[in-house]
Amino acid sequence: MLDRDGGLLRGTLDLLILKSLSWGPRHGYAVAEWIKSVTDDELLVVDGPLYTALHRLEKQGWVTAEWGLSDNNRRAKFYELSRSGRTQLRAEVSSWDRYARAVGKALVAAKPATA
Amino acid sequence: MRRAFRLGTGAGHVERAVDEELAFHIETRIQALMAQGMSQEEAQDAARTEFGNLHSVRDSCIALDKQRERKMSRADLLDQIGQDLRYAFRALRKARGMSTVAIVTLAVAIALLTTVFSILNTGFLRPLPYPDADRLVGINAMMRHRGGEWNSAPQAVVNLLRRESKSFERVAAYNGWNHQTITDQLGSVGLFVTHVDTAILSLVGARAQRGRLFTNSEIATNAPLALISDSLWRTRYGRDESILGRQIRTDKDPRTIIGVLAPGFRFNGASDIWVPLVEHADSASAKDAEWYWLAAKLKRGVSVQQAQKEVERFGQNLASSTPAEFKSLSLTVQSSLVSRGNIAYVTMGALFALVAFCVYLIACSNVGNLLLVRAAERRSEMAVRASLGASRARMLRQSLTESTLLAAAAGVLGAVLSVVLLRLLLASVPTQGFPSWLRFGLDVRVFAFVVLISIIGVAAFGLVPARHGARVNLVDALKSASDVIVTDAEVTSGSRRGVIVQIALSLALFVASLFFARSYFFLARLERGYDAEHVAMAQLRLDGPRYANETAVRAAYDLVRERLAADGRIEQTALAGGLNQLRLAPGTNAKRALGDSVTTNWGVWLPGDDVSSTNTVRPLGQRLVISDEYFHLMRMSIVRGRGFGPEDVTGGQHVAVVSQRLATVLWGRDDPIGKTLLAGPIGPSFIVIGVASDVRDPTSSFEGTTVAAWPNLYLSERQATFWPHIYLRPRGLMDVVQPAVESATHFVDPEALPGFVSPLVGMTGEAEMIAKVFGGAVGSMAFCGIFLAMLGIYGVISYGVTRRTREIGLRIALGARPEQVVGLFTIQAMRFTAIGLAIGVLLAAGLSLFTRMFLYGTSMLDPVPYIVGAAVFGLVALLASWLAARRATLVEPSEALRSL
Repeated sequence: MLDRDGGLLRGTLDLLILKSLSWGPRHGYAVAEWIKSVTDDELLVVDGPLYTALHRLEKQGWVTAEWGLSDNNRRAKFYELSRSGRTQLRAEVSSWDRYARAVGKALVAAKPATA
Repeated sequence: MRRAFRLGTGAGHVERAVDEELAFHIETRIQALMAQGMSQEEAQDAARTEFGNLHSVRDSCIALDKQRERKMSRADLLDQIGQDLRYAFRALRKARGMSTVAIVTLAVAIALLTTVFSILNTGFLRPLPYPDADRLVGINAMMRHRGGEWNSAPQAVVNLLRRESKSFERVAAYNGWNHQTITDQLGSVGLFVTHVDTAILSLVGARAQRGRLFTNSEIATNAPLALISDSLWRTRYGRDESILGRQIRTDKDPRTIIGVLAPGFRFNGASDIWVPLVEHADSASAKDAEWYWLAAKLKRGVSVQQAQKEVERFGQNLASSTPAEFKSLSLTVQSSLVSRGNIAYVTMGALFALVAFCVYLIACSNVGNLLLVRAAERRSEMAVRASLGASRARMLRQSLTESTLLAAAAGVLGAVLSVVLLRLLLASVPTQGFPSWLRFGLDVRVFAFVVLISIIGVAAFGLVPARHGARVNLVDALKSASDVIVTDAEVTSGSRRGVIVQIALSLALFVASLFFARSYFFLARLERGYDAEHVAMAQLRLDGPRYANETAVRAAYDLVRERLAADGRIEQTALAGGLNQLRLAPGTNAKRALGDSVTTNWGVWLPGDDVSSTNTVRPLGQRLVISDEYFHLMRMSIVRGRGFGPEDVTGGQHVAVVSQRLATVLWGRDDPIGKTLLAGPIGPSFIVIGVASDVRDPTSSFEGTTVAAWPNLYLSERQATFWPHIYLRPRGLMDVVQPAVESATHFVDPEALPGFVSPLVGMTGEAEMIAKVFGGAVGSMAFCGIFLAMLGIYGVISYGVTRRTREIGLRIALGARPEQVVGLFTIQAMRFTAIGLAIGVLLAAGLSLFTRMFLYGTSMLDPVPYIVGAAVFGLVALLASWLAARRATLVEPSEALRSL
């Protein structure tokens, strides 16, 4: 499940970021916190690749960014799902479901009868 | 709570933003870890470790952001262009009248220029439409033979060139301009037949669309076959698919049609039929038998000059080895197979180009005017936009978009129009006798170029409002928004200059077309001195051993005439020989057509003249040998003395009738009756018995034109030999002449071919055709010009009126009469019209340097066209400015004053 630069399959991290933004704008730190808390620190090993992913998603137009003030009153860059990002999230969730179910089925399959 | 900050701009803003974002993360994390109880150092280390490679993350974030910005600015640009386009479209639609006029004007100009230059390009600039045209050359052989000068090569020269020349890849021989009688199931018709060898067909890239071309062996054996042109197949045989294998006769030779050449294939002028050329491998046996025209393809890398040197050497060798035959031979290589340098065509082309360009300029300056006027109207709009933050560049781009949209619309319309124009031209141009290398097709490159310069031109005008907008003070502009007070010298003088150019150019065109009209009416009204309308000329085609001598030929002619006299359809016939040879098609060697004996003796002498000196040869027009009825048939009159009668017998005193002109030339005011003259340097003297009324025909030598009366000499058929032609005057329509002559000829000699019958008027038509075609073309372009100039004048005046509405209102309120106001503007308009007219007259005089060689009965110093042209223009300008100025008087004083 891990790849060299992301610590995660690239698509997986993107999916998680999009999901985390689905309840409203967050800055990068909050996204990282959310991912760590919901995955019990299993998936996001280092924080750096998260930022690369956020900027990539921004370039693709799935998220938009705006500077705002954080809870501790500091300037922070807030990310928000764009309309296309929301569509992308829906698509990725359903394809992830299918993928996971397929892999799951394969892993619980019985030994095939030899011909 | 959040507050939006502006995203940073300027150099390094991407880096700063990324640094700030990452710093925020790490610092927040440190605080969180310290809150969990770590020391600051521990927290810093842990946060760094958790983050991973900070530098590589920073770099990839920066790279991603920069890519995103570039993408966005591109999208932004596209978005702005879309906005510009929508805005431009709305602006053009708002000024619908102006846009329509501008687009149509520009489209007409584009179409005209494209069409004319496409034709000129294919006609004069591009290589001939033959494969490897740049290597195709003609070989011109001139030699004197049996007293005449021949413009073709004998077999010996052909064979020598084929055998020994090192310069040419192939040497081809052909023989064109054979007027032969073609007989098929439909009857008979006189057509030009070209005799070809295999080489010439492949040199000019002949292809058969039906059937095939000749094979080498078919040509070598002179097989009885024929190829026909696409146009003959269409017009005479109605695209009959069963044409192949059809039997026809060319003169008396039966032939089978084996192919139809590709559509559009043209070579050797009007030739419609191609048959194998008779050649003789052994030149000695073929002495004088056949004469050939030569074409050749240069070897790669051989220049025309090198070929010329070689060919000259051949000529000299032949001349020194067989001086008796080839002493006078001169061989030259023509750099192109077809000479396109004919001064008449080049001048016509230049004239058309010039005229089309004039109309284009008129149209462009008109569109420019419209745009300038509109620019003035939009000054406040521009000022408002500028003050609302539109950048100067943005406004320039906006107005460029408008101009481009306008020009592009005109381009599309122009493309459609040029296709239509070409169709019309194609339909109106005669296929016969038209230069075969001149093709009619739209040249896409020319079109693109014309559209491009139109866009640039329109854009240049389009920049004016934007420039003003960027400069104008908003407060001033808004204050005057209801009424433009600003005296905009640039706009006014610019559009005035434009109108002056329009007036000058269209006056020049108009005057030129008046010259053509004058020439045409002169020709139409020209007293030729004979009745050309109702006379036809027939030449019988008698050959075979029966007609070996002149007496037998004459006897046959007399029999045919007797038969015609009995034919109720024919009123009268006469015999005459030696038709005015100067009226043959340009390029024909008149001397050659005349034959040997006359060529050497062309002229008239008085007793006592030094016959050995060429200086004493006196001018002579036609020397006609005629039967007694000739003067009456031609409706000429004898002004002094008498015509020929039965008393002028063979062997008696030689008598002659001279034309009035010849009488004056030879004897001045003296009475010519009883005077003596010689029709040849040696030979019998003739006593003048009568003076015939003058005849005249326009001739164009392309160095000038003349309609002077001919100094003609008439001799009696009983006292001279000649090549007879039968002149006929039918009772009814001219159509009856051909069948009447055919049946009479058939009665006399069932073997004889039908003769060639032609109306006299058709032979004098060239000058009239030129006057008509040119007058028509130049005239219609001139009318376009006049119309455009009128629009221009109207535009400028009405702009002035609009600009001065308040002043006019004041004047009227203060008691000025409407006529005075109208007068004020009209005088102003007349002032710049006069400048335009003065320039136009000068231009017209310049243009007439080009046109004068096509003009008859008028000279460039003829004041009438200039006066008429200037007067018509003055009136047109007066009308246009009056119409525009009248609007001024409709201004309500109260309305005008309220806007103060």
